[in-house]
Amino acid sequence: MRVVRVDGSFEGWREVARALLARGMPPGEVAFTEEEQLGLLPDEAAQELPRDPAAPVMRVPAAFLPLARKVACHREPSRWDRLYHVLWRAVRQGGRVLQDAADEDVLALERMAAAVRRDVERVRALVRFRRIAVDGGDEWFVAFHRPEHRTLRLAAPFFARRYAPMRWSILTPEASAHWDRRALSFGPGVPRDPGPEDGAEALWRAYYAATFNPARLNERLLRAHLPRRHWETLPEGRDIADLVRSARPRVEAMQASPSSAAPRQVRAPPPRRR
Amino acid sequence: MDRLARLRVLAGAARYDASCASCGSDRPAQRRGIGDGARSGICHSFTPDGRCISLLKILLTNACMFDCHYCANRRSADVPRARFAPREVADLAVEFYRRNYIEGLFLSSGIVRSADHTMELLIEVARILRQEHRFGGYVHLKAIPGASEDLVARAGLLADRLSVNIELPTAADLARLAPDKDAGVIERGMHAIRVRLEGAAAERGRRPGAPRFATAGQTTQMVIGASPTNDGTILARASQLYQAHALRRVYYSAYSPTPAADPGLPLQAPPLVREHRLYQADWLMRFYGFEAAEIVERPDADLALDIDPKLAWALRHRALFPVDVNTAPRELLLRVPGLGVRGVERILDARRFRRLGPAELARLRVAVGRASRFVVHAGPNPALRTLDREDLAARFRPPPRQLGLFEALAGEAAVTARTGEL
Repeated sequence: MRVVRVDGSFEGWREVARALLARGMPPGEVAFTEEEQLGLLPDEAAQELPRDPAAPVMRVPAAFLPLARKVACHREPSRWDRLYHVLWRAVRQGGRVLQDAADEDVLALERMAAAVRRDVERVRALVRFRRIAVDGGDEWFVAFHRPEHRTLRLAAPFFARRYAPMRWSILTPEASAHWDRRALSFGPGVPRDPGPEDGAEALWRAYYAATFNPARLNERLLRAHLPRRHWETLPEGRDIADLVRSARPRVEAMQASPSSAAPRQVRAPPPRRR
Repeated sequence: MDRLARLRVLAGAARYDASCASCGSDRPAQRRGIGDGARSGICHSFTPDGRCISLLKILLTNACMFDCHYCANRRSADVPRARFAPREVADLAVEFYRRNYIEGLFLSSGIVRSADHTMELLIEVARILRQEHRFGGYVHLKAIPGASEDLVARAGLLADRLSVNIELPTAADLARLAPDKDAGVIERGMHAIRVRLEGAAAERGRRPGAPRFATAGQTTQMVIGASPTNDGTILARASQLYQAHALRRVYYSAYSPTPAADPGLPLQAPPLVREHRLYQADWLMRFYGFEAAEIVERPDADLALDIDPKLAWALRHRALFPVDVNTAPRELLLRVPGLGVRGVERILDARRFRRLGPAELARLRVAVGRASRFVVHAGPNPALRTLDREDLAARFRPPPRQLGLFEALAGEAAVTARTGEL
């Protein structure tokens, strides 16, 4: 068994996988690791093996690359081995391997890709910018978020499109993304939320509380859709527990005091001019 | 009242409208403006009732000339009133949008002065957003019944979606509970929108640069449980609305206690399970090829609350089962309890490669336990023996139990309840 080091990026793994494939290294005889102390460097691993003249011409099915790009962002350490396993078979058996949704390896990749897709959606949904005034009257929008997987790179282009006229940064524990109104760039992460408050958060929290109908309280459904670990980075997250607690007394109060008996002739005041 | 206090009043007044969808639009981001309209919208947050927050859902004013008994904002309700100027709402929506709180705005209003006057105020908000803020995000406007067709046409050019609420399932319900509203006027409003939608689509077919008109179509909402109307009538009404006005969605909103509620209406927990069953039935009509009349046992019957409408149908039509997952056509697979639209697609794909047994079905994320009573597959299937038993229905029913206000949706229904779009 040969242990080969990958740098944690899709591009890094692709380089290694290409070299191994060209040398006919079967998936059962190689393992990938991200641990820096372990494993051969990709170059060493490649050099140790002679090129295999019988190795098939590398035709990777078109569907493999987008799938692999997503799987590469998953946190599961076995993903590199799984990817190589499917790649090996896809090169030898053709793209049909990927269409067999009941194949165990393909299924594992699909599951990881689906988890990454969901996480990208969560990043798009749950990033909350705060506006910070900077010198020269400019404004800068900064967010802190904890994605479940390493999905910032996949999610960032969405923010660049949608918020093109804004200067923004999204910080996560492992990486950060920055948009200066022209180009996206990536940098190191920050361990925790550095941001000061933004005045709009009071309005947003008031809206969140008011749009909730206490008579429909359903905590289970809330937790299914909005897992607890995300509450911490949401401005509205700190109000959830109170809203849940106060729901029942609020409804009981409504039920105890319906409109007084004969108010039907009362006219509403005309809208006030301000 | 300051801005924060008015936001509380006007968001609280708008929360009884169930729709929060922000999908079906297709407006790419413009370099100079902010925002885009996506084919599938994003749920940015969830309230403690598990419903999604995708839009700033708000009324321009909660003062209203009308006195609809079920409505929290009816003329006779003793509640604080407030209003926003159009510019205040547009500014607030953009402030929220820039912080990635929302996908856009869902704006409605109490009726003030006249239908046309109210409609003009709504349009003014959308105009400020689109023209002054260059806002490309999602805008859903209520079309006020009785507003002139010119105004509806202007609204559709600015909005992604329009909706006229049908309010209650039957004309008799409206006459009793919403005396100022008229089903004929409401449906004429829907018809006018349909004509414009189809005209604009045809024009864009001929000339791709032609203006877009409410690309996410039109929807409606009816309040459930304020009147004694049965589910069979409700589903027939929904089906008729889908066909007559090409609606994207009918939303069902369980009548809920409100501040200063009408003492003549049921002051009980909102019928959330019933609402959930209606959505399931609605899904059967739109994605599973069911007719409204098939879903209920009799035209005047209600849906069962303890089992879902698809299972109830299967139990009434046992002679059609078992269905062979390896050979049956799509239409028949869609009728099997436990097989959803996506599960059926996965089965159709996978069975080209191999014969499907229980292990394969499980890997295709099919609800095998439920489906196995109704299908034959490549493996042995002992569950099938129950198909002909008298007590089959009882095996699916949860043990009887009184549902309380706060556990109404406990169990399986809780996690699958949804009003969003696929």
